[in-house]
Amino acid sequence: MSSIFADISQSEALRRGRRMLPPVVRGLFWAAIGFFIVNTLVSEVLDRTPLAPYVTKVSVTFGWTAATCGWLLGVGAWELVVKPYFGSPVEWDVPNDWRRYFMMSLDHKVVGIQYMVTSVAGFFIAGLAAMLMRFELMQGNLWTFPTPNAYLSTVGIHGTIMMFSFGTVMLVGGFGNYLIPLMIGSNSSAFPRVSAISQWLLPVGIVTVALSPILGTWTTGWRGYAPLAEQDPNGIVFYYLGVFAMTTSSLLVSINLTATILFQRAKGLTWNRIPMYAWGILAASLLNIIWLPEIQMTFILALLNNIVPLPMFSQIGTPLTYMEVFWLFGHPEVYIVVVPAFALWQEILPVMGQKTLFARSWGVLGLVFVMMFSGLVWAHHMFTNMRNDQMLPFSFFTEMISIPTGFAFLVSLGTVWKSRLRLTTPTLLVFMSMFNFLIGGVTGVMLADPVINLQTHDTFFVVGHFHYTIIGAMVFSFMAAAYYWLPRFSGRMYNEFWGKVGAIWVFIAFNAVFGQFLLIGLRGMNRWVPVYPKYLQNMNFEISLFAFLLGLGFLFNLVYYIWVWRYGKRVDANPWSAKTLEWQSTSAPGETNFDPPVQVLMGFYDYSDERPVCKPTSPAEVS
Amino acid sequence: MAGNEQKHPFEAEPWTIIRRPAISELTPRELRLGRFGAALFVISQAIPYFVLVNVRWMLAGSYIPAGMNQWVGGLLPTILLVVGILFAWLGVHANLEGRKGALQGWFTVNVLLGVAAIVILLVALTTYPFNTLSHYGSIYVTCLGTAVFYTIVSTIVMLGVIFRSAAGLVSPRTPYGPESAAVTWTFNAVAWFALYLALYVI
Amino acid sequence: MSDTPASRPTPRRNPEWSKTLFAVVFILVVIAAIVALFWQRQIGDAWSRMFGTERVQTGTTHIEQYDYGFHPRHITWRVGDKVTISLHNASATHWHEMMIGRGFDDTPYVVGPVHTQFDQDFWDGVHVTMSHAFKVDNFVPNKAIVTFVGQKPFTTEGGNFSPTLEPGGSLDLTFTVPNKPGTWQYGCFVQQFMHYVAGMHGTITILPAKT
Repeated sequence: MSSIFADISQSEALRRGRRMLPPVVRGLFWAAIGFFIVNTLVSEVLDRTPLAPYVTKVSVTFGWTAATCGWLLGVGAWELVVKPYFGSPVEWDVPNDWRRYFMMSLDHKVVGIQYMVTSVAGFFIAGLAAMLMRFELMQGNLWTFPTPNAYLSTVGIHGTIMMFSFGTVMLVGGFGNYLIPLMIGSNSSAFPRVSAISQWLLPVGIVTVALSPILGTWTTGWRGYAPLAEQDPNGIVFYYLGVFAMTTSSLLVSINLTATILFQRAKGLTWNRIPMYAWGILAASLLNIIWLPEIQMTFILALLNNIVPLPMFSQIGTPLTYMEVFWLFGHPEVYIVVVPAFALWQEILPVMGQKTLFARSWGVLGLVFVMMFSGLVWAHHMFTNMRNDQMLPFSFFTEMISIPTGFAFLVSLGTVWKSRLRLTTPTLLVFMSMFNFLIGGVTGVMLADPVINLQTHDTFFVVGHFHYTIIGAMVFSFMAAAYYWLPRFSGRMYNEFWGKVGAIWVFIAFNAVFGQFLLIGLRGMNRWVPVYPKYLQNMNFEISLFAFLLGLGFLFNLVYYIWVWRYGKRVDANPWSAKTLEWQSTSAPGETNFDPPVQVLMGFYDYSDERPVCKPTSPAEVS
Repeated sequence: MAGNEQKHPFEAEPWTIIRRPAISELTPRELRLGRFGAALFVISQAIPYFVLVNVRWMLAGSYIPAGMNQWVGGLLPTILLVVGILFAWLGVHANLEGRKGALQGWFTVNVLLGVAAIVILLVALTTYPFNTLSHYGSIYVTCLGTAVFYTIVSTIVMLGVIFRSAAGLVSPRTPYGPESAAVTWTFNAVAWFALYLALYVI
Repeated sequence: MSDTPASRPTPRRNPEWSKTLFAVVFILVVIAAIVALFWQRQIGDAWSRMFGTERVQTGTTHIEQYDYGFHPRHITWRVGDKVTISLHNASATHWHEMMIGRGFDDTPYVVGPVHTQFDQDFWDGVHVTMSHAFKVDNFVPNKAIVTFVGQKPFTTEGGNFSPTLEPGGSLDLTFTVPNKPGTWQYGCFVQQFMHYVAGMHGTITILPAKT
């Protein structure tokens, strides 16, 4: 297989000719041209209203679409997708240095790292928004933001970017793209062009949402409720468009990873040997494939409701219709976020304990049943809008969903039981994640009860609850996975002491912030308000201090992580003695994973069996 | 990332996928993979139609305004698109039998059908007999707009196959292009048929 | 899949694009985005203050209202000129008004004062001719002396001089710029000041009469 690239290995051949424009620069340039042409066409010709401003909310919608197309073509889709589609030879050479991260690439590991970096950038942009919010809430009056709308826009930007560029993306688009082909013994994802395009849609979405206040403030938060959204200034248009870009990104990744897991598995990697993380990604991808198009259509309807206007959800329309279709997506979204996190627990713990994964089939069943139940619970977000007798089934299913979730806990605990557990930073972070998600889950069962739900509706108790589930489960598991796979990504090992300092720092600050969110919610602190009664002042002030500590904790981990990636101690190929396939290959981005392809000989979670997990296939067997 | 950079800083990234002698034949596995990917894509794109039909019911029940033109915006595009399903698959079979001209011929017919359907839908989008500031009116124009969008997409995909066939990229051994175009067309026709039923009949 | 063309064996251009160009453009775009995000309005206002004062408007000034803003946001008049405001509500869904004044008239509220209107009404004692009234929801003349030409809109009492237009409504106000030089604000206070908060306000510079 290596002979295939022999023709391009000569560096002098690549250096020939004039230098190409940096793809990102070309993307920005083409985006600007696309926006200028289409915006002018719409606002000055097709939808011309005399005396109107140059950028109207109709023209900006079309202009944005053109800009996005221009950007995608500019960063590489023109050479990689459009021209070859019509028969031109491919001319897109990616230099094997840092430049490959700033242009469209078909290597799943490069795409994975691009995704992780973009996603983490989104996390810190949204985190900065959260810091601004906590700054504002240090005092009971409006003092950081000029207007309440500015505060609410910040809340919306925080929620939207966190949800759609980090929560949904990091474990699927980031780790998924990098690790899934490795874990199933493949050299590539199934549709590498699809992942390449989807990665470059993600920054579009983040930037669109982050810059939405340029068009005007929006006050709805990440839920975009009608009719409030329809009352908002034009910033809401960028919310719809940005979310559209980010959900398209996740949708394409999910299609790609599902096809990868089903079709690209190495020889001998049968259905009952599929790694747990691949199961998690498969479950989350199926949820994505069903629910992301649903929310996209909903947002298109809401956008039409806003810009045409076609009053489906406001004025003569029904706001409840919007709530229904939003939460139909909105609750499965939570499981899109946490199902891969559960899978991570079950991936990391057997390795760290060097003990066979306990009740593996129940773990898989748990993931699948969580996925299936997730579509039956949406209306628990809307108890204030329902008749009493309608609440009962949703309350029931919401409490039921804790049973398959419990499988994830039991499988993890059973694996730890009587194992010779190495209490490394990833192990510690998995335990922290389990602890936090337990609190998130218990408060969730409480909130599923209509009596408590109606009492605490729209208070910080709910905010505390969902931060425990999302940060508690997903972000802590993400950090565990990041430290666990750091030697795989970089060939270097972190220092246990500093890794644990980072973990404990974040854990303490996190619990101090969101534990108090639960309490201050019970004391009457409302969501969506920049100002609050005097008696909540002291507690809010102190929460803000811990929130800044939490932000610094994440920053510390980031800096330390980058430092280790560059300067950490070098380490052997498989430092954890893990059996999964990604550790059996040392390929860095730009290199072939398995050359020759491997054949899997046994499952990955049986640590009582000492035999090798895979062997290289002879060339004759390659199909 | 760190390890190999020092060794060959200027070596281009090896792509197992496109650094391959091109226009060979698709292995059965590759073909199955392509079909599966197309199927997943079609499934994901069917969901928005469920949303549209649902929203139509939630907003306007089964109300159909009087004076609707059953042909423009209703039966005519439906007939054009549904007939196109047959032609699309005839084209796919022509390709499998190696008749390149027949493939291009059937697909050209379909492109014309698609353009005609788009024009008729656009006419319907400008001549409906009710106000869009109504439950039925708002969802009606949205559905027609969605149909126009997907019809444009499936027509462009058909057109692309004609170009690719002319460029020698489609052969009986690489049948995925025409097949996926036919799948897209069929999906659009069936999905529009469902919208047509929801908007005009039921 | 292998129904794609092969890659060109010898590339015609050097894929090692310039680091400097990339870094410079990237940093400039990031800075531009941050500046636009936080200071877009201030920069626009400062720009008009610096360069807008030379463009004194006489005759008809078209003012478009949309959700939520005025277009233009800056007007320059000269005392003694006869001018016409041609006001049009371009929003398809929202009612908008236009007040002109200075300072704020506050109503105390639990979260702090709410500005209900301007403290000082620009129109006090001004002779105004209102014409071409179309889809005017209501009109409060306050202390202005108003002559109606054509259809007279529904007039009512309470608050500053303010015409409130329905979606798509329009009207013309013709008057001689009174001797009140300086900077004035105009804004829409509909929905308890929320339109104003969302950015629906602008400034008028009135230059002293030519001597």
